[in-house]
Amino acid sequence: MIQLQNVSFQYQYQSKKALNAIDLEISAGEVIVLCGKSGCGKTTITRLLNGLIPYYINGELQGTIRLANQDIQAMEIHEISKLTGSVFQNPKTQFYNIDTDSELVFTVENFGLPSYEILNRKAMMVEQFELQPLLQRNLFHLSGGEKQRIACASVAIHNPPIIILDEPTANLDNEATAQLGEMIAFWKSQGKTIVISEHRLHYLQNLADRFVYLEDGEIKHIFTQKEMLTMSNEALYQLGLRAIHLEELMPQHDRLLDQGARFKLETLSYFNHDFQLKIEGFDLPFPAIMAITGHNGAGKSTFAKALTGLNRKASPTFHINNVKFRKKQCVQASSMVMQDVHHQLFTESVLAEILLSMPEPNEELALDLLALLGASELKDAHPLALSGGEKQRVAILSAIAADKQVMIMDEPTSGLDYHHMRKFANCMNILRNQNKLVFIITHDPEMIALCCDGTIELSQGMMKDITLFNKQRV
Amino acid sequence: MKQWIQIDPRTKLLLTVTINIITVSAPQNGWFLYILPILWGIPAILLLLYQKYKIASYYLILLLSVTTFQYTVAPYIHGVLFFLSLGIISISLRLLPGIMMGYFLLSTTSISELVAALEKLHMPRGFIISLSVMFRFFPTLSYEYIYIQQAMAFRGLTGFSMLLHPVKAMEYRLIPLMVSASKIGNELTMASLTRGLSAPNKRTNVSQLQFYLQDFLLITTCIVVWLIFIWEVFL
Repeated sequence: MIQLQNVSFQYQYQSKKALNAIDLEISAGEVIVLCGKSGCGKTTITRLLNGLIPYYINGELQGTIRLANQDIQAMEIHEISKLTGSVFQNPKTQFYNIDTDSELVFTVENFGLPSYEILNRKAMMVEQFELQPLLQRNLFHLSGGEKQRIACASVAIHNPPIIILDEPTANLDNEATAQLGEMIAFWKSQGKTIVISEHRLHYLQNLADRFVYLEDGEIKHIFTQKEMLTMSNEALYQLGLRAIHLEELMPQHDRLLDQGARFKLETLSYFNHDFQLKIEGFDLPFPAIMAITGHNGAGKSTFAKALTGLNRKASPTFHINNVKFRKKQCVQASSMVMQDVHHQLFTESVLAEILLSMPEPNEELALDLLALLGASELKDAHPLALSGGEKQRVAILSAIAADKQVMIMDEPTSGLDYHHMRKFANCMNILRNQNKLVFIITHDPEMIALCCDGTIELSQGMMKDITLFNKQRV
Repeated sequence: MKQWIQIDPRTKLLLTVTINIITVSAPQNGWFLYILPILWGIPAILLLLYQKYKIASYYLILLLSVTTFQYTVAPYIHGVLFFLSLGIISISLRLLPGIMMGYFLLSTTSISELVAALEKLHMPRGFIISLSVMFRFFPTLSYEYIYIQQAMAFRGLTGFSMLLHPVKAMEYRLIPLMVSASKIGNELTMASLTRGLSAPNKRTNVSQLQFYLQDFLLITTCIVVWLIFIWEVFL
């Protein structure tokens, strides 16, 4: 179904090849997972298969790529898109429309199918993917899992023989990830050829036929499903891959040093026409790293915003070591590292960024902080030219520089490989030593096991459970 | 929410153009003393019909207070105050109805309806695609803007300190916004290319457009207003 013969690709303005002499043959009905560290070339392969390279992204392409026995160099991108359906990582930008109904039929409208045929197919998709409750809705108001379900249905509506997914679970919770797994299983049962580029491997362990492991643009090894299942988490970490055996992950219990300081939150509530949040007051050791968990739509981000005083309708009050913070002071005492970090980088160099946050700019102190997170060499770089993980560290540094005591991280490890996730976890351990209380909104059990001291589980705007890993219940 | 009265997107487009041009440029005398209030009222009525009560009532309250002010207080004040109030009155009365009509168009029309309307009007395909992308862009950018505002709040870049440094305030908002815009634009283009947007065949559109009685009424109103406008201003 798919043949890559001696394929090399180099992006324009880059000195290194993104792919080097790739040979890969995928037969019809196979499910293939492309895995490897960030920048290993797995996304580049997906772009070759849906025609974005060479038709939209410039660069130097060598070798032959054949889809269904046709050379893609001889096809137009709309002809390629009849053979493939592509689901992308970011649900915010893969939709052309704002309402779900138009989005579902967008592809078949473009291909000019007759109206009755389009409506038939739409009805079929609604049935297959159980979309009835999602019809006539604004796409911006759906949860991440719901958006990904619409995306899957709208790329399958023209019945392409090949489905390509590029890190489709980066923004999904565990339940939505499992649902995505079911959709892939359904396509597999229909005999579709499926190629997935992915960091999270556990939900694919029983679906994928082969795991293609890439390193620096080359195929290093191809694991069969059986080989993959027998590998231990440690062996996967050696390759820079994420764990498969999530049940083996154990949090460490001895990290949290109880120095007697406490963080107390008074009962926090917030109402809005379609959501209510009511969090009973709680009490935590200070400093600590706490994970906020719960399904998409459980109110994790709403809680974080309300807690930091960003939400106009909520009035938080918390105490750190018996010092009371009311709403205004809450904003001053807290900081957030957003999922799209580029929203919070304002200046033209990393050093200036850190100085901007300081109440009294002090260059020496700023350089010390950079050294603390091992980022000294970045000091003159432009923040927006950094990689995702580096941007994240700059945002964390500005929060430390501003002497904030409470920090919120919004899904910091979604889409990170093992190596970068590990770096982030180390960074959290440094923050604990710096006397910070960090709340991490996350779906990542590996990161929780590596660096969190406990979890706060939310469900439907309420607090379901607080656990501290040193076995002491709160 | 069930919509019990539908207005064709073509009618909405015509109304938006008409209200924007006429309320801005018509003289406030003769026939227009009667026509202008009708044009001011149309966006309010449409917003109410589409159950946008909150924004409709804000608009109506503003409209009523400004006109009351114009006839009761304004004649008795002089000097700087007079020019200031004259400025506020003319901006609200001349620009606001057009803005409200534009808001109504944007918030009640789906992209595919708009595309269908423009196709029926035989607009060129390149124009339709770029306009529809703009339609998609506005709400996205407004969400991005909210995030940037929040990030600035955490850095203490709000209120008074920003008023003192207007250039910095602009820079800190615009740079992240531009980065977002180019990133989103790029990803949107990639997603739509993989879904056949560039296919050369004739595109189907499942949105069924149909004129009803209310459309004919509104269109007739527009035509009459345009005829009077041309008669009064040019002849």
